[in-house]
Amino acid sequence: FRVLFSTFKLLAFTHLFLEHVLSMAPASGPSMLPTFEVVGEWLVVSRFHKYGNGVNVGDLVVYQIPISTSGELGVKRIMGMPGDYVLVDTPVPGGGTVPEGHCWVVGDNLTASRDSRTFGPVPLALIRGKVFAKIQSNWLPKLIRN
Amino acid sequence: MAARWGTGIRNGFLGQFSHYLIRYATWIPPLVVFNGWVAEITQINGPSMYPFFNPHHNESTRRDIVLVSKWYPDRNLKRGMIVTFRNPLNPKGKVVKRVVGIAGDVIRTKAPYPHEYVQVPEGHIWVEGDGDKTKDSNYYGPISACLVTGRVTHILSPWDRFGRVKWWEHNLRPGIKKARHLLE
Repeated sequence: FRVLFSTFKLLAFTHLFLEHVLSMAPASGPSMLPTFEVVGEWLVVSRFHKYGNGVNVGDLVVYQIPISTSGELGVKRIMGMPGDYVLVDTPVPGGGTVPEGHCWVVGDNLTASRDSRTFGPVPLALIRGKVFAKIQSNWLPKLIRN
Repeated sequence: MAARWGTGIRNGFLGQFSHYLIRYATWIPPLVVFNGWVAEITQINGPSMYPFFNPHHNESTRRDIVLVSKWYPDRNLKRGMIVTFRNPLNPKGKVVKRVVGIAGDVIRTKAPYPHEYVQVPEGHIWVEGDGDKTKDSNYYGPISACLVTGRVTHILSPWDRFGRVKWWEHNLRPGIKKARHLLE
């Protein structure tokens, strides 16, 4: 009985750690070449930057795709914060402003990336965290700088 | 005196206090996980859901206390459900509103929304407060369903309105054209 409780508490603690401190996830897809390989790399995500906390233009973030019905996650670079002007590939010809509480994300590989140019600005509340390191296919970690 | 302190620590007040403190403190992570992922008891602030919540907001400072279910809240949302979600304009704020339209519906909007008709995009919902004084989708547009963090399932206080939130009995306002390809 005691063992059951302790396991339960440990699971809860681990879950909280993964939600609020740090988490890791595999990354796949060609939309972030050359920063990330198409497959085989793991991202180390800081959960302190959840909901866009302390996040700046140029940061790589993990976010929930706003038009997905299954909470699919995406990893892209922030190119605009609230108030910034976006000039390329916007629904409004000539460019528009990033609305309050949202950010504009773009993949590094522009030709193969579904990002804000496809589904519009992402609410900051959908940001799960900031990528600050990656584990490469040869198991070596590498820090990601802005 | 010194000898008594030394041998008495383990079974003395300080020893026992720390033992029980740590034992009960280790229950905090499961409680936090429960609050975040199973269900949470919270207060409704603000008059935006009048008269469903806080019907006496002009007369007293008492606020309704409700039970919010956090179990997969963004799956299978239906019109009429009352949901909690993160404010799209301010990621730190939490909002309580009713789901009035789901993906594919065409909504006839109210002021101050700039367009008279809008179709709710895929993966989004249209939320409105029941009351008059409300900042809802008519202000910030359709919101991504991923923003939803919970559903209000029961009212706990005050006692005369205790019980399940019967969201299915709510009559939707006119001006909502349901998406035809969805099964009712």
